Amino acid sequence: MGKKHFLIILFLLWQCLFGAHLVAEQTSHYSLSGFVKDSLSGESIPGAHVYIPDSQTGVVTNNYGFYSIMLPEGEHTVRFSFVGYREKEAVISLNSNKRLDVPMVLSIELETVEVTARQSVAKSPYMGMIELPMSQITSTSSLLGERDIMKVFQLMPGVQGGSEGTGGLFVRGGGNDQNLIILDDAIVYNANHLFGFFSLFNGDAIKDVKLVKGGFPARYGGRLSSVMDITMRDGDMQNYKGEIGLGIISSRFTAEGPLKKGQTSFLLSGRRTYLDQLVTPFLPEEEKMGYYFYDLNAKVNHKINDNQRLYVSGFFGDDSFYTRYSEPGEQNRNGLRWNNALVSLRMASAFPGGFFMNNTLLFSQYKTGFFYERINTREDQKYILDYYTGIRDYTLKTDMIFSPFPFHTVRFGGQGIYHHFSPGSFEITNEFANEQENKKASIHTFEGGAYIENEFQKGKWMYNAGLRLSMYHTSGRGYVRPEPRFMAGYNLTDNQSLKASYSHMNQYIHLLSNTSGALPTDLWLPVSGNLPAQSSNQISLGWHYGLKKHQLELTVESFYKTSDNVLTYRDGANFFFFDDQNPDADIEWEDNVTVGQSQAYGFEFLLHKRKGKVNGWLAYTWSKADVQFAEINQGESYPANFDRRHDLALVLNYEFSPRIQFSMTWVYMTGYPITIPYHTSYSFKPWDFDAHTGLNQFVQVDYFQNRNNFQTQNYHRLDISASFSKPLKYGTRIWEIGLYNAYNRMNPFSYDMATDFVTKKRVLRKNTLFPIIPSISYVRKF
Amino acid sequence: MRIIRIKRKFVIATFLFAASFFACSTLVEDMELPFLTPPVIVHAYLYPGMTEINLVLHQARVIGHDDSHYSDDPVRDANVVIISEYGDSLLLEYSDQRRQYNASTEHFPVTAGESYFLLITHPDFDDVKSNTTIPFGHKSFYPVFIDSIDHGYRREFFVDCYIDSISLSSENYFQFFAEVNGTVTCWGEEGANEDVFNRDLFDFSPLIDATIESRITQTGKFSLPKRTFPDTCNFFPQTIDLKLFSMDFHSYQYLESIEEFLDASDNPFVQPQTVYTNITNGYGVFGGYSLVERSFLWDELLAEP
Repeated sequence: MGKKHFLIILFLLWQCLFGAHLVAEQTSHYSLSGFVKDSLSGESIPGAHVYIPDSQTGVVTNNYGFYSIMLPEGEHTVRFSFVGYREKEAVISLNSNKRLDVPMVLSIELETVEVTARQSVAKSPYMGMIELPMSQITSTSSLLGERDIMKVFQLMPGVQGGSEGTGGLFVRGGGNDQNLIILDDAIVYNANHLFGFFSLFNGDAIKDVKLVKGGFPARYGGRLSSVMDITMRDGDMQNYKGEIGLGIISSRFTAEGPLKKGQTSFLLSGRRTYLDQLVTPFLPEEEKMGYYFYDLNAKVNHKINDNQRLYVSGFFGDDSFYTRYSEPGEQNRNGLRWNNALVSLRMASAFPGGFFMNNTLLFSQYKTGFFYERINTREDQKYILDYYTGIRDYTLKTDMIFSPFPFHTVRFGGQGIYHHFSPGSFEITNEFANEQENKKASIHTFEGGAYIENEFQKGKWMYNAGLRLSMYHTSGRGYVRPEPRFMAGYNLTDNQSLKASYSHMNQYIHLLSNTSGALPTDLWLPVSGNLPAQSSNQISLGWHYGLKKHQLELTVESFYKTSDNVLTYRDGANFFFFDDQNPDADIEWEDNVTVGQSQAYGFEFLLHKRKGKVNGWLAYTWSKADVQFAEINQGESYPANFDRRHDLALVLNYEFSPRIQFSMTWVYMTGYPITIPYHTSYSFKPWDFDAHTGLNQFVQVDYFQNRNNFQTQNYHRLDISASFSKPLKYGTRIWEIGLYNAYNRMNPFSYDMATDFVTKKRVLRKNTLFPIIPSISYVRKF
Repeated sequence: MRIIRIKRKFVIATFLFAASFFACSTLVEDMELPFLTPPVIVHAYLYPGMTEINLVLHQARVIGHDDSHYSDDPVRDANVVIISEYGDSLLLEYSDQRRQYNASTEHFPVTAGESYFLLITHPDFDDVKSNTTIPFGHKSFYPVFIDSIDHGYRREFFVDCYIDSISLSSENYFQFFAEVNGTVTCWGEEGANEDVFNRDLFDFSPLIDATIESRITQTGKFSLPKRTFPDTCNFFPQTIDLKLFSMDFHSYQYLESIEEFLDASDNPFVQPQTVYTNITNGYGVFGGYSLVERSFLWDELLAEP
């Protein structure tokens, strides 16, 4: 970004604040602030709309359900709305700063939806932001009946999945590592279980999810392509509740309730697969193998007083794939494992005058690796290899919100993250040779950010202008980079608006991965002396329309994004950093990668009905993403991995009756590009292995004309599911049945080259992983 | 109750239907690859002192169509010309017997430091072009005896071979070969019998990119028996013979990419490797190299401090 560019943005930002200040001085203004919460459980409601019709202004509650707005002295009608809740209207007389906490009542009727839809579309400067009600996420069909947040967001425009079934996110042409996923503000480095087939997030424990893919507010930073902000539920402050779900491969439970009624609540939710337990009895005693994952969400929410809340939340998850076999005198064990641990301690405080502050202390850890153990039981000797790679973060963060002038909401804050990377560490204990070897790779870096953003909304105009200052330091290198952000909207009518946004982003850590799932070969790495920080510029334009009669939101957006210093593996790079030809050679990860540029543009269409007897969405994306690396494909640009031209998703949920619900999802995607050889021939060396010169026929080699030169088969799939609930004396029981890939389409999961045994010709072999898969689960709520 | 019974039947029927589909599903499907016009593949290497230039020109086989046989079809009626930087040209003739293009260098000597251009014309494909510059042979290389270890029945010798005085920032790509030659005398029932032996010190070094280092070390070792049964033999190393190939950038890149291609083949944990080419409108390589051979007396090596 040029200096001139930066100064213009600063000037605009200053104008926004100063201009508003002049207006503020003309009359007396007071702040109206408070929390919006559920009337029964006392849970805060993030994303609720607070709208003042007279002034044509409004705000949205933050992740803690807090809002603050500056209004002129006098009487005002204030309208509170949120999907699934009955709209609430209050008339207030404002002659001093006022606090108004609003309990919202769950709605069974549908009359409020129209207002909610209209407001969310037209009355907000945000764009490229997807917010889905949890009710819609949990009712959408998915693989084996699991409630999978990541898979549902893959059905939204601008978001591509990786290989079938995996939870990777490729947003607007970006890579899987360019997504910032945060759970209660803690960074999640691996959001998947079971090689990506299941999301890390247990739908029962999640209150709110939003995905930002363009038009990034300044409060977010650190990744180029998207931010997925997930908030865990607080737990019911009034009543004890529970839920147990039994599925084909996993079971789950959730318990919540007050520790002290009206003051402290808890939430505990967990899952565990039992494939390993089911398979074990059928395996011989000397050969055992299995896979399991478990995760546990826990949260305690304490209301210190009306103005202060303390939250302690944690997530712990573990995946393990293992094999064990034994023979006389010897036992062998090996396996792969992944684990995540997140802990967050937050203090949210509301001060007089509508000032809100949240201070957060976070711990985040991700570790993956494999182990091998051989025990000679006769000699009591062991060989143990333990390889692991991971990242550990300690974060301190503060966010503040207040409304200094009418129609303006100002947010500012900062954060500091201390990263500790362990790329490719191992430990070998070899008692057979009496040797011990270990390599503990360790890199420490600091990443910081400070931001200020100003949101304005009045009449037909609205904008959010902000500046983020990102900082990064590692040995021998430091960055301080400004990141201007700007979103503006103009209301054409009461229910439609035009919007535009610009975002500049920087990313200081990289993920080296060749899959869209999670493997121990994946490596999180920091920016180093040889690898510069990634950066991107994105502009988007959009038209948003709320169809009143049909309770529909229509969003049409287009985007253009360029990224610099994106990373990829070099030709022939070995993901295990191990050279078979030269085992003693220590391959540095920096030798395995190369940096280049990427470019993506596209058009997105979303027709969304959030609530009602029939609800769901139709999403379509046309996009193109290319990458260019000097060392790959002769320096010419080529299609990015998972670049799909067309992506269509139709999600329909139908409520036959309060007890029977039906859901269907149909997706269609054009194939993604892969690299396959079309031609083969013998190569010739100038000398042979005995150094005799001449043309010596050597090995047969294959020729790829270009990288990513073959488009895989188009993908389409229909999932259907139904749930049958029945109220019982204590709680409710629900049977959920589903069919994944209902018409048994043999969609490609991977391709490889194989030789036909009959014709001796090589063929491209398509491997399908998921044919039609039925699922059934039982849920008991009490 | 009636409705519930129907629902149950429906659920069971749906599951059976799904399960039968699941059981009948073929999860692997072979697909034929499209037929894309095969490119021409060229291989030729020039080096100073060569008496005949050989060039292999053939068409690649199309995978999935004509890759079931294991030989490449030569392109016979092409016009293959090599032109020196001074404008001299040499026409290569196709030999049916050798399935390649050849020409004598009697009037077209290949010289180190000179550039050569390749032009192949044929009515069926676009003109194929390439060029190479023959590197000078590098002469500063030598072995140094390091140590020997007695293993009882054999002795192991360690010898480091150095490529020295490399000028940085210029193209220096090497491959190094070293062998030990000597005599062996055996005493048996029929008396003494003398013969020669040959051992690899290292059969061939990895390809060496020496653009950033001024000195390259390649460690080698060989072992000789001390006692043999039923005969008693004595091994006497005579010489260490070194060969150093200095190759141009194109040859190095091509050979290196083939090694990486072999590493990457059928390995899901390795990124696909594109084989390097410097051929316009085709694949393969038109490269150049120089060879310098040196022989060192073993006794002198042992005598050196």
